[in-house]
Amino acid sequence: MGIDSLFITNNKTETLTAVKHWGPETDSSVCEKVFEKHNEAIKANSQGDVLAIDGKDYAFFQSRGEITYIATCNSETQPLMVVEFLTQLHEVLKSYFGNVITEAILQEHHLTLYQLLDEMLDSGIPVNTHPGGLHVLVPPPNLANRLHNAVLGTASGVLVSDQDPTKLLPLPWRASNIKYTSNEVYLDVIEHVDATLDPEGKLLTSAIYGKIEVNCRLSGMPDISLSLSNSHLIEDYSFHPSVRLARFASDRVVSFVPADGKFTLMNYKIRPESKEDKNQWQPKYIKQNPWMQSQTMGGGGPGGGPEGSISAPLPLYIRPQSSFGPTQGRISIVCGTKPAFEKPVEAVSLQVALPSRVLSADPSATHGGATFDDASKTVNWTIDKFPADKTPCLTVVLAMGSEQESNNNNSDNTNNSNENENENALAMMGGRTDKSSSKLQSERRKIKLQETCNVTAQFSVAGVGVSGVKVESVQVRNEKYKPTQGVRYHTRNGRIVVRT
Amino acid sequence: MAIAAGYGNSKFVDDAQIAEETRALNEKLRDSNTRTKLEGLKQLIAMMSTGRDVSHFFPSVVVNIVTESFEVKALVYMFLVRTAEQKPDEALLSINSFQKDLAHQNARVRAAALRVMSSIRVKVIVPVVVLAIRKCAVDVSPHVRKAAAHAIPKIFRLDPSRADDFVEVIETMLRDSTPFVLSSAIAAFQEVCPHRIDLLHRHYRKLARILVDIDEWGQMLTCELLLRYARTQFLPPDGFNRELNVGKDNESNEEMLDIAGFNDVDGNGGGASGYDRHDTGGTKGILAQAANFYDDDEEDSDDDSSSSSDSDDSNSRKKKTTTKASKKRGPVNQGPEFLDDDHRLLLRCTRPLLQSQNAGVVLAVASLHFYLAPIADVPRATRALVFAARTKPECQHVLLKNAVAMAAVQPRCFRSHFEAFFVHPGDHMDVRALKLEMLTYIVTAENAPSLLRELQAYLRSSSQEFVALTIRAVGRCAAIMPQIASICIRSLLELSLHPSETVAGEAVVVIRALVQKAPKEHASVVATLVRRLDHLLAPAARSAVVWLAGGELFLDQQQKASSVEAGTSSSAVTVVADGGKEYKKLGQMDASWNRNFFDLALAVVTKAMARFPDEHESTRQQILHATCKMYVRYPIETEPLLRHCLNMASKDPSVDIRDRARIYGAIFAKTDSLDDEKKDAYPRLKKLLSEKLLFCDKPITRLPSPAPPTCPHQLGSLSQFVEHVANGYAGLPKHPREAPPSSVRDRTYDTGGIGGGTTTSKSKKSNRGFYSSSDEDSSSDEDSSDDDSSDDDSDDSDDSDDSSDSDDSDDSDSDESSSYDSSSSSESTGSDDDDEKVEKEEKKEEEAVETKKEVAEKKEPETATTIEEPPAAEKEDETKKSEEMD
Repeated sequence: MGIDSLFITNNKTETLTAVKHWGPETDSSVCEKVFEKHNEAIKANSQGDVLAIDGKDYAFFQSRGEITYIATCNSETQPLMVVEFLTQLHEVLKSYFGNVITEAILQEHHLTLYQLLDEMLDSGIPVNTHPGGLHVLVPPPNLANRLHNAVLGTASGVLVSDQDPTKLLPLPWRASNIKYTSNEVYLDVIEHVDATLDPEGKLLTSAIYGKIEVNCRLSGMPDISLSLSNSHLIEDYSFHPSVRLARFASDRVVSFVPADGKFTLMNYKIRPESKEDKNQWQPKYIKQNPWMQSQTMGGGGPGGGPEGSISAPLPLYIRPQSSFGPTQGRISIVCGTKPAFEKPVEAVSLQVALPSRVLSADPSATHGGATFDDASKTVNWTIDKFPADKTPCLTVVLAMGSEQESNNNNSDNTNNSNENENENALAMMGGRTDKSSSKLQSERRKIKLQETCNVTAQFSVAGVGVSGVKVESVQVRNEKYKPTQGVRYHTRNGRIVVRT
Repeated sequence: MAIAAGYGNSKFVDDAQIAEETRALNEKLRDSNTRTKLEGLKQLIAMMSTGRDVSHFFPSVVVNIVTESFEVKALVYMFLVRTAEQKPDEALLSINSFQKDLAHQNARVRAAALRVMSSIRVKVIVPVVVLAIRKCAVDVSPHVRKAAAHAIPKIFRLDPSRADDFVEVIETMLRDSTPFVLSSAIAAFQEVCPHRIDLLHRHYRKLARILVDIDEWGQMLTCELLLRYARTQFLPPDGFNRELNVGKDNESNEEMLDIAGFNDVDGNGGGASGYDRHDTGGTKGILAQAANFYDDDEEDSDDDSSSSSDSDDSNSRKKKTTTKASKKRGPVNQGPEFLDDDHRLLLRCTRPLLQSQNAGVVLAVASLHFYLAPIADVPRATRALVFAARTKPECQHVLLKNAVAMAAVQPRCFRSHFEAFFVHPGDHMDVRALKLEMLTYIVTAENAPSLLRELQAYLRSSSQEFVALTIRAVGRCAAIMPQIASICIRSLLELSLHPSETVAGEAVVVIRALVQKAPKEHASVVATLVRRLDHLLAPAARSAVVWLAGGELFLDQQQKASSVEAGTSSSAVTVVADGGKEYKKLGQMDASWNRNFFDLALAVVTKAMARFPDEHESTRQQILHATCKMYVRYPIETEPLLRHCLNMASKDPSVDIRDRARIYGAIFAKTDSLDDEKKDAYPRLKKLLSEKLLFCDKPITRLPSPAPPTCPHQLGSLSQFVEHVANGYAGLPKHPREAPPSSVRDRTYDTGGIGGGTTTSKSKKSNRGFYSSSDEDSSSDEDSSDDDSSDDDSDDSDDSDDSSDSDDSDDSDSDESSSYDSSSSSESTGSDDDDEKVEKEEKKEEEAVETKKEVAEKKEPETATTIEEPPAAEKEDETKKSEEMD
């Protein structure tokens, strides 16, 4: 049970950056197999995250940037334990070495890395994966440490902390002796909008997922209570281990002893706004979110249909049009912001996935830059700033290759005569034959389904949350100081797909 | 070291340089200055991390272990762990200093020393380490105790004969009340003695209560452990099926879904529509529907048990279930104490963990609830699962796989999350397949239109593989809901003209399966499809079309009707109910239709015959069958075709086809065909034989599905995910039939014996205790709802347990006999008649069995009968059928 070996590899050069075994040594040829499989999986667009090797080892792997983490185990282990460990390992490394983990960085700090691995995992079972707690046991290679070394003349930095681990005991994510000169706690409420739209802009499905990220620099053992407004909108949620779950279940207050540093406090999903909800009684003191308001008033115009009244909670509208001929095609997309939002929509980019028989594409945009990536057959269109008066428009001219073989034509003709006879024979039977079947027959021999180009979109709006969930108050107890607080709201794209 | 080759920069450095480097490094290591030493060690570990062989530095490093500097010590430890295996003798030298470190005043040093010592994989030192573990297991510092717990599995892997020692230590450690230590103790328990459930009795309640305070990794392990414990100690929560039965699962599920669908059509399926209110999500709503659940699901579970002998009269079965259900609904609230208190405690204590950020915990708890919670509570767990799948993209694949396995058994639990399983263009193919599979399980009459709209969008995808998967999903939807079948078939028919060979082939195969299910309704489709034979390239599609051209679905409607009646097809049942008059009319129309169809089929098969040698084996076989079938009906027209066909087939490269040709050749010997009119015994026998052989009831087809769950392994396990039994996998134990006494859990123990455990935990309690205590407080209100639900369940599951148990034991025999080829058992072996061979056209997996049978037959003379004992019901059925035929 548990993880036997961990390989950290560079997936560009396919070389080993670090390796650690908790059990007997696992041969590093595992890595080659993983890479092989990984490449295959990319080709087949399948997700090869677990791999059985020679029937005795199982390799789990995750790629992050240029680094691939590979964990092996040789017996029954909960797969998610390994997958989650790899995910969290990356998070820990990020908190130690900065946001981009590269081979060079890991090699520079290999001592810290090995110590971390020692502390995070013992006998194959993860022990502690909270960066806040690990900082006590393994000092991060930060500026203070480097300065210290420079003064003392060592090149190598404080390598090992001999701190008493009992300092960590009450809460594995927080040491008991943290001190900051200025106490601060900042919250980011980030909401992601998922939406699937049909070409007319009608909403097929949508959902809003949010998370609250905390950047906590507080001394001592503070106890924070966070109350949310409009928390009745939250349908599903998950919390950081520090949160008292029962407290939230009973009075919707998020109460926790924060981990040190940055962490994700909670994830939530907004209850979908269904038709019945409209008639539901709502207490008056709940202020309606301006976004929602604008949707209920202004939305639905172009939508129509039964679901017309609900439109996507998107700050954008995207109207693609496409036509594909046998040898060429054309896609045009109009994209604009909805006027109801006070905040500017930033970092808008659209990806257009073209059908596989496209040979080349020539995109041109009235605003922003558009490029065509041949390998993935996508057109990428970024609009940095929306013009005030005009609506940006993208036109892509495509050259298409034909996939059909033309050698069928001869046999087609002979068939047709045959078929007509049979059809006559069948037609005599009267009512039993379905009329549509003969209609079908008259259609072309090979049907061609209308090809699609799905458009996915990215955007971000700073300063406003789409759902209306807000942080009402942040109270810090158990400590005497008054910390600096701040809450920021962001709205970003989730999975936005516009079908054509 | 095997690793050295190929990695690192070492291969570019020549030997002289290496020698120089080595010497310099050795010097550094032996230097008296700590700082130089550190530098040397650092360099060494850098070499180690790139996979270079550093074991020859061992002597120079080991001497440093006595140092006072913690930094040097830590680095030496790091080095030792990696290389001790290659230098066991030198490693022994270091043991003394380890012993010293184990008594160090700093807890961190003690823990590190034990960790390193237990990581040195040298068998000689095992006794020393075991002693150290014993000592550290009662250390004052929980950190050291944790290290001791972790050391146990390490040494156990090295020397399994020490298990008895360890069980003793683990028993001590389980008494610990520090969650931090317990999680590791449980890991050790799982590895060393997972079957010693008896050790857990007295700790069970503590473990359940402390669960919220254990770290997330420990929570996963503890949930798994408690699940196993509960499975051995508690009765099943209710009568619902929780486990996937591979082999018969697909059919039983399909049947189950069929029934749900038919209920909707008939308008008396109050239960099914009741379910859709479910999305409101509140516990109350779910509980209110619990009663409804039972109506349907009683049928389900019944179907499961009886599906293997599925051809007994469906009417009588219906009656049986209804009486059963009504019996059950009679006494309400008879056993208020149905769920054991401890059972409920476990459910209550694990429920908050569904809100964990760690997907592993969510999955562990969700599967625990799936197995142990009353069915009305399961949707809460599945909701968390669906949410985790969205927020944790890395874990999506594993979570979905488990969700599909759950939905295969209890699809209702996922119905309210319908839209969550729509495919996103960014999803990987595996995930897409799983999502499609899930959608076909949970689709209901109400959301079928939106599903079809969604599937239509997928069909336009440029990935052919995905389109093929979608086609399967469309087919399954059509099978589940007959009311949309014609729309589905029509769109599939269009797809059979798709430019891609695989897509078109898939479409045809699915249509064939659908047509077979309800032949009457899709007659025109068959004609259309048969005409398209020339456009189809995929062998599977071609053989499917030739099979259809064989025309067995139409040629003998009248005889068929009786046998179809016994089957599950709804249309057949209604036809019979309509009575004789209409039936006759239909028969007449069929006759003319058949004639026309035959003309068409003859033309097509003749054409196919021209290309006979070029066809794929399966297609050749189908051509052979189709010709024979047509010959039986229209001997005069097809005589030359048959001769030609037999001639070709007898020279086929495939042994199987040659054998078949020989058998058919013997049956349709030339002389007999001419005196067919004569009523003497022999040709009549022939005719019967051929009819039995060729026109036997076909097994209900299994529609191909996008990603069927194939293994019944425990949810959340690696084996479940990789679909084979991984090393060290032990399946879930079965619930006992009678609850073991709960008093075993009442025994307590005195904590006085353990040194540090009490002191530290007391100081902790003030700080941390409110996490768990507050949880308990607020969950008391939930508790009451638990009572309600269990009240509802209690009456039901008590006797359903009995019945299902007895069913199981009864069925097991017949299951086994019919599992030989379970689906064909219904039509197999007319013992009164003269044949016993079953023909199965499209079950490739059963092909092997079939040939075996054929061989068996060939040994016997043609008229001989090897009588296999069919189950009694089938025998009856069979005789009835043959009487009618006569």
